[in-house]
Amino acid sequence: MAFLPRQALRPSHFLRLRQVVHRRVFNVRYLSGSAPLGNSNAESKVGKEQGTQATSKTTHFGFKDVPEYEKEELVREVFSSVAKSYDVMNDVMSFGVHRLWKDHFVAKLDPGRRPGGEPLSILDVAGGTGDIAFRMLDWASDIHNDHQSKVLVVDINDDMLKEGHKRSLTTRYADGSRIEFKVQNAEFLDAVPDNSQDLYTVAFGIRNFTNIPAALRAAHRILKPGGVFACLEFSKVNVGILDMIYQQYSFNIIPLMGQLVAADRDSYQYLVESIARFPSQKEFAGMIKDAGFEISGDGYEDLTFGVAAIHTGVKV
Amino acid sequence: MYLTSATIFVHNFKMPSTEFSVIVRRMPAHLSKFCRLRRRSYHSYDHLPYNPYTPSQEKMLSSALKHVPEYGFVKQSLVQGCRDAGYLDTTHAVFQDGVFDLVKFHLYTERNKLAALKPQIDEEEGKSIGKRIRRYCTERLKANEPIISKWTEAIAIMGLPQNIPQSLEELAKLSDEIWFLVDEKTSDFDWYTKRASLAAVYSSTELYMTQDNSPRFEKTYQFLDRRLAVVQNAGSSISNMASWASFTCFASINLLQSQFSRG
Repeated sequence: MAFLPRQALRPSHFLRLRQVVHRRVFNVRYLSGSAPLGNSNAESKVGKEQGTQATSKTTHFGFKDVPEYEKEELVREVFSSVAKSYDVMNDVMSFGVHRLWKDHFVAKLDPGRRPGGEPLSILDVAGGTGDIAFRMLDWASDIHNDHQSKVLVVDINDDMLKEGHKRSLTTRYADGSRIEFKVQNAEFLDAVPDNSQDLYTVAFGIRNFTNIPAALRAAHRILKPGGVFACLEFSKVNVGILDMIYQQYSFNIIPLMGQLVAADRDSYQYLVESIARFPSQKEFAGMIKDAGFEISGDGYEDLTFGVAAIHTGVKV
Repeated sequence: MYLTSATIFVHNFKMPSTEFSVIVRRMPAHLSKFCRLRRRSYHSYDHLPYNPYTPSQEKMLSSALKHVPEYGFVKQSLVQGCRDAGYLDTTHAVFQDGVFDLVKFHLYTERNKLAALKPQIDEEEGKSIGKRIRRYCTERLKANEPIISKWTEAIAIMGLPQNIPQSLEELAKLSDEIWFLVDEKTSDFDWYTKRASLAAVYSSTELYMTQDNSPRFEKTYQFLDRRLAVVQNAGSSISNMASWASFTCFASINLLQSQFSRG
């Protein structure tokens, strides 16, 4: 079983994580009965039985196929292992451009209570380390002089939320009156009542969800009529040559950087594969419409030639 | 008579009414990636007009336009419009181009109102193409009068590099609309030159109008008359020039041939 160490992460921990990931993945692969790895004979037989039951409900974990019930746990492990160095890795992988994307995302949403309006209630999903949440609160406070709007940050991973909470203690929101952190599954959002949020944001998180349509329906449920769903996510590059360069960079350089900077090649391999598996801009806009949102124009805006894209929809 | 009533029948479909909107032929999925979405910058009988706005967006944007004389083409008009339509202060974020969406909506609705004027203008101006074009241009310019004080903001927004392709498309559509409504039936290269020249006339007049302080914008309409006269003169002088040049050319060739054949 995988364990989530609370003490300082050492290389031996990453070795164990790699073993766990490989064992779980290869168990599913060896359904046909070919020889499994070393000492996991017993597990592989169990895996085979479980596998035949679960073949009807598999999903993708990067380029591998895994049973749905396992994906959540695997994703949680990936983000536990990258939590501490998440921001450093983002800077290294995108050469700091992710900051520009996030700034543009918040500027486009322009959150903030307007004169004559009510304070906003914002839900930031899969926003563990609080990047978007802090930017939104800063924007509301500085641009609109709004010191009452609140952000609820939810994530499936407690480690990422702890990082975010630690970070909030160094900001002006340290007292916790405007920002709250909760562990939630985006497909259910149990603790969030219906028709309660003005804005739902998810930045670089939705590609990790096991069931994206369910998450979109949950978003539709918790938003007020007139509330906006906004998603910033990696997407398909729309210029052919740039796409080739981008693919080479993603699959060759990023896992290598993960190995060198964070000593965790597998997590970053998963990250680039999950980007490749995410639907294109138009397909995702279609999924947003299917969940009951209304879109304007194409429903998305490309950033940096389509490396990232912002999708928005409104609940009417 | 049949043709006129047929065109009026089609014009009724061209109104942006919500009941008739968005009956667009869908291409099969494996082919649709090879052709652009069914947007076009000219009128067509084969495709119903494409209404890019949902009813709720129309409601929000038309309420926002009411606030433009007070606030201008800024985000605040859009937010007020969303509020008036019964939505939240955050709803403006759904508009991908922000305030440019408001400008485009104004251009779209005013362009679509021209078709309803066709019976009246045909009756009053008869067969004269020049007079009818002048009428359509003046009617369209009149639609700018309520917001003309803020129109320079809109022109600035339309001139931003990311917005220029769509602004030019709107201008092309307006020019095509007016030429279509005067029933012109050219099918050679003149189709393009006519639309280009009308687009140039209209855009220069609109720009002039933003600086015009005369009562009831008389100077603007005089400016329009002068621009249209220039185009008409230029049009006839260019075709006269072309006739003279072609005649001279063929006559010279025939002369030379006759010289050689004489030996």
